[in-house]
Amino acid sequence: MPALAGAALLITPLAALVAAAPWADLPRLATSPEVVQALGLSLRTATVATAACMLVGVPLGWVLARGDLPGLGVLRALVTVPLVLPPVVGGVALLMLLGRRGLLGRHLDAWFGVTLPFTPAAVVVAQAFVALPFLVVSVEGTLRATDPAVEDAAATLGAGRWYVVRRVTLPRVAPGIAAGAVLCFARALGEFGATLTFAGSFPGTTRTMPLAIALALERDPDAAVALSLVLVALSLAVLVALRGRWVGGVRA
Amino acid sequence: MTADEHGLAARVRRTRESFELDVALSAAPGEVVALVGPNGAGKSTALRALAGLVPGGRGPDGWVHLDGRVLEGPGVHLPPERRRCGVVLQGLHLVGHLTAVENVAFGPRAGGTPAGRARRDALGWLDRLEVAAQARTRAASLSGGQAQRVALARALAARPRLLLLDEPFAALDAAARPRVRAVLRAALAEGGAPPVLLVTHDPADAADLADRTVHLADGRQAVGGAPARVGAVVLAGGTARRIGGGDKTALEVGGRPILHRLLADLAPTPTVVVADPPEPEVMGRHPHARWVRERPPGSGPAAALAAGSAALGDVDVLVALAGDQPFAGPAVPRLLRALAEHPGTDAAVGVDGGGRSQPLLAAYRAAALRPRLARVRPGAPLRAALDGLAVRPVPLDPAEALDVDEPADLALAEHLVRDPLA
Repeated sequence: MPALAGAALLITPLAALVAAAPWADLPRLATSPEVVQALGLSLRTATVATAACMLVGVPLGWVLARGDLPGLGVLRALVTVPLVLPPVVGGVALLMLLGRRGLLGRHLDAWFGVTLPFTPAAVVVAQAFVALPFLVVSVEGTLRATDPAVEDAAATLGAGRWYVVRRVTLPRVAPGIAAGAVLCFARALGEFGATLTFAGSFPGTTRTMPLAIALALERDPDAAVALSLVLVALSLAVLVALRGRWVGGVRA
Repeated sequence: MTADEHGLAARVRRTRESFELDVALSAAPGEVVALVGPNGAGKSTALRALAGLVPGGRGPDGWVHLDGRVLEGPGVHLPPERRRCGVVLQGLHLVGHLTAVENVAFGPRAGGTPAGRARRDALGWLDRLEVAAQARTRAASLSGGQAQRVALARALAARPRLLLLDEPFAALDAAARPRVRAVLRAALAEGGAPPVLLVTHDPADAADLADRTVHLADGRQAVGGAPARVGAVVLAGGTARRIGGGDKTALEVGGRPILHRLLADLAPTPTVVVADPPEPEVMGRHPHARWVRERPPGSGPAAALAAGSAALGDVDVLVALAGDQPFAGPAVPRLLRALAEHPGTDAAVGVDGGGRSQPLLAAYRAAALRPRLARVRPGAPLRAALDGLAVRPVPLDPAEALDVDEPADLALAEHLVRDPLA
């Protein structure tokens, strides 16, 4: 019974969402200029955030899994903090660092005339802040599960460090990196709290899909449902990308 | 070990928690040395250390020389990719997402061999090891026996300067083992074969492939079933002169001094040369050897041996050699084996063709020898000190027993260098 209740808790809201869908109006609602704008912004920022996360997250996961440095345990704990931190708090923290009067932000403003908050770049930073741990944890986990003895053996064959990374390590951990990137993208796409706090909700510059849905819910519930369905469709696409990993069970 | 010399000479020292590995290993090009001993004796660790795969905790004073190159020494630690050691370790560690042929071609490709040639060579090795049919199978999908053959092919295809094999036939069934051994033997019989260290539990492997066996126990070379540190004392300089007139260790046989030849054969066993005056030119070229001054000069072999044994420090087995026997080195492994196989004896002493025992071509248990050396008066003959030891005679061939007392001996030695079978 508890299992059934759990499944119901996860499934019935989505069913209700589908049931409430204004199917007749859906094409019009889903293609309204506001939606297209918000969706485009969401896809662009989430993509850039994911790319940025890959750039720094793969090396970070690598260091956490294979590094031989003091204080690595502390670093690992700190890296996972955003996982458990309420995103709104993350947004406030980002403001304190990068806001116009923030620790770093005031210098950015004074020296370069750059202000980050309330720009699309701020959306990317907020998304990356909350999504990066998903990628790092995934990469680290995959690397930990990979026996470095195979790389050692490759090295004895005369292969230099980068040759081994390119031909042995990366292909072995690619599924883990890909899964981490998909999770990271999905998390960035759904980011709400930190984005609202740090980037605000300006149409066309920082109003991503989740923000648009929240706003629509107050003015036009039908539009909110339609936008939600668009995000559900995107989430399902992410799930399909992961199917081999979670839905399909054990991978070969 | 010098630039003109070939093969492996190493003293592997590793300390990890309570385990201490300290073993001297050597192998000539094409020579197969079997490493045997109980689990936990340090066999696999020794191979990993030679390959450069043991992370951190490098012990003091360890060194590895291969074909005149220093792989490991004071301030030197070459990474695995620059050592050119072919390894087949337990676990095999094939690259799972690559096919069998890609695994075998991996080493040559990494070394810059064009893809086509690397692939052809790899297919050739797979064919020799009877797994050509699996060439396109991903390594992760190979059976245990197939993976074992592919791992051997991969190690051989990389043209290593040293081959390190840890139970390389373990995953093969009983029928396949002799066949794969035969393939390996044939490959090693070809020109340019590297030295080979083979860890095995199977006496048939050792009997079929090994030229010589080193027993390990508890991180040491085992002598008489128990782990032991082995050290050698070579009596040279004044003592060698005294044994039969003239400074004979400096005489050249085959273009190099007798002492130089002897020390090269003894490497990597820790060795003390007792001489007066010193032989700096020769000594500088042998990292396993140290020199101590004979004191007082000419006080006789027993006193010189006592000085050398004291300088060696903590050894369990002491090999004693005269510095004027150019070909004595190859007899040393036999002496150690005789001692290993007869736990009740105190010494294994060489006996020449005339039935004369050679106390300066012998291996002694240090615990039995040292108290006797301490008691002997300066100038007394060595034989007096050895009275009452339980001795195992070890027959020497004429070359091993040859010492250079007369010009005729030197001529004979020169002849033996040119034609070892004469």
